Amino acid sequence: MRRFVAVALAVVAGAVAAGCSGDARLPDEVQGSVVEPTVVPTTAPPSCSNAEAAEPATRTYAPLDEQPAPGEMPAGSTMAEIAERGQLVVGVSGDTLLFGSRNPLTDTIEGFDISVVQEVAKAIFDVAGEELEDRIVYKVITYAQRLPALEAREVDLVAHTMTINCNRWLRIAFSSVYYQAGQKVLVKTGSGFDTIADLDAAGARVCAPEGSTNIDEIRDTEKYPGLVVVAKPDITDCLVAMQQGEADATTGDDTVLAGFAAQDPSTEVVGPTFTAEPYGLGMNAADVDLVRFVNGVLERLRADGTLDAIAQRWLVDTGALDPEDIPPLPEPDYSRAMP
Amino acid sequence: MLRRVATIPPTTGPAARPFRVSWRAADSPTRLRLATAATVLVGIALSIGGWYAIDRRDTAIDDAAAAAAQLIQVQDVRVQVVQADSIASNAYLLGGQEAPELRAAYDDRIDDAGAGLSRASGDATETDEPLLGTAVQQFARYVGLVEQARANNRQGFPVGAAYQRQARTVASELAATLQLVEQNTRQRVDDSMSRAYRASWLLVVTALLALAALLVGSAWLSRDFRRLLNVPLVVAALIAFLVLTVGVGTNARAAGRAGDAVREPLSAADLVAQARVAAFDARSSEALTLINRGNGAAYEQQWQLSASIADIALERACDEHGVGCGSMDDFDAYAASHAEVRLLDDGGDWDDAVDLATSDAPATDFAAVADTTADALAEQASLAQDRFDRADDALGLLRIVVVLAGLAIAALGAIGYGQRLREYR
Repeated sequence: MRRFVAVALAVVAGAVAAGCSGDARLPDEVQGSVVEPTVVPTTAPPSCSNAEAAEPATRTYAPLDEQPAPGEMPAGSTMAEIAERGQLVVGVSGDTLLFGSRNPLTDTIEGFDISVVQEVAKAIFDVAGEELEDRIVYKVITYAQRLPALEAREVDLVAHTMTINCNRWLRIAFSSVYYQAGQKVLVKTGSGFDTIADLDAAGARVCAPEGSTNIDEIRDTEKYPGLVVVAKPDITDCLVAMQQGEADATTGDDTVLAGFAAQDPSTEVVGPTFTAEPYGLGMNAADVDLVRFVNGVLERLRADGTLDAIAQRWLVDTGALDPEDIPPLPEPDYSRAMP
Repeated sequence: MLRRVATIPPTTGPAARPFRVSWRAADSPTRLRLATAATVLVGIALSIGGWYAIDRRDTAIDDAAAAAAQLIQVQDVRVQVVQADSIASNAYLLGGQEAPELRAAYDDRIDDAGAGLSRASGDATETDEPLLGTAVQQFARYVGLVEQARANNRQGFPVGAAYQRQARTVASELAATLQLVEQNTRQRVDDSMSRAYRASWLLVVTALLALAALLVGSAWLSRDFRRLLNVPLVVAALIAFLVLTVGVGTNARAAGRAGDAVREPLSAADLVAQARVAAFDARSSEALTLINRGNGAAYEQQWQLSASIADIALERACDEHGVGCGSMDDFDAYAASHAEVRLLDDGGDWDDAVDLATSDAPATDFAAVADTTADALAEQASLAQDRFDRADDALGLLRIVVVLAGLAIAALGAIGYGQRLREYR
């Protein structure tokens, strides 16, 4: 009897253990990891003193005494370096219709800025056509990346509807003016807003891209106390914001806004130009020889009518602007002292 | 012993305290009646307790199976969405007229995701209902944004790229929402399994009680009444013993099988599904690094994050479950091609980078990853479902058997003690 009880208890203990033990859990969610790039601590961008700001920002370096011929860049120059590398690396916009945008149908980047870059490349490399295109490396960058990309030497040149101004000169160098744009506003057709003042008075939501001179302008609360600023990474995101009802208007250069109006017939560009936005090609501050070389190229493009032809092709032939809306280019100012 | 018990005179008569019966004070017939009552009670307790315990385990296993099915369903929706977005990104990268086969592939993914999302919403728990509601809204927004991107692209408007970017953001938000549902559902599988394991204690306790009562009763009878064996009581004890061993064992096996379903195929399916989502995400990011021509650093970060998830998930599926091991090599091959794409683009050779990414090695390597993981996932998911289905097969019968066993013990107890009681009439 005792033995029976003992055996029974042993079996029971086993059964109980089997009934209660065990655990089944699903694995935890898999977590990934990534090596974070070293972040350069951002310091406040330098700004010009009043005395510096009083001088015209469009002053640049005089062209070289003798403009070298294509394929014959002077030894030791930045241009020679580019020629040797066989590639001119340019920071451009990928979605600014008319100035620099990817044509989804042909898969090429095209526009006013791109045409100017092609002329510069033509002046460095002694090639043309298809071969010339192979020599240009386009890097699509956002507005906010334009100065950092030049400072980090990720690009040789920035052609990205970039306004020449004093604060930017403290970080990079500019060519002479290749197009004279101005800031305007894009509103919905028939909205009743005709100027930036109307929008300000109505407390409207106005969109502009982060890192642009346009957003700096409308963030001036003394000038525009009523505006609600909507900031986006790129100006094209502003058109999306308007189409989705997130913004009432977009402010930007008239040239860019003309491209938007072409993409969305329910919008229109209105009002007078309220700031001057002279476009220049941006270069690293130390590449003074390249700036002088590019100024030499632009000098020729102005003289032989190439710049006018480029404006005709991208701004008039596309129906974006009337010929009389294209302001004449200012005389280049070469009074900036060499560093 | 017998003499001592027999000579103890009753100190208080039953008449004096009619509702209290003292074992020590009682005479043998009263004791036999008490023992009968106790045995009947224990038998009935086994019937009720056993039924309840097995029923609870059955329900818990069903809950775990339902949660497992929901997990697979929601993960499938997430895979479809990420896959659709990867197709849309690549179609945009290819440019020109949208290839009809890409469009058809995108439509298929969207149809499947939509159908899966509506099924998942139908099967949602109260906690997940608002989350899946959000997911449905995000899904609708995503589809709308992709259509707007396409409409603009067709007209050659660069604003299409902005819509594509926004669609991508919404797709990520949708994936994050579904991920929350997955986490809740995973928790539900684990909780149901713990409940299934815990549920058996009542069966064990009542069966032990019955066995103990019968053994003690038999021992008492053989000692006090000089009978070697009381057959009905011994049979009853044997039944209680069988319930404990076979019944509890069967019950444990049911939970064990469900546990195996969770530990093996479901865990493997979970890992492979996570690897798939991450792999398609990586493919999407690859397209975006190229759409951002020469400036893909931000999306390359995303690629690396997704690739590391895919890598870890595949490695664990292979190491821990022996599943998807072949996909690891496929993914490594894809990662190597991707590195080449980045090298080309960063070196300024954008056109070749796009050619390589869309028509050459990565596309084929990636297709291999997509196919092999799809097969592994489908196999493991159906295996898990199958095991869950079979897990509680025996419980329906066991439930009835245990109830009958309890009743039989009660009846046999009454008969066994009744035989002795008759001797006093």
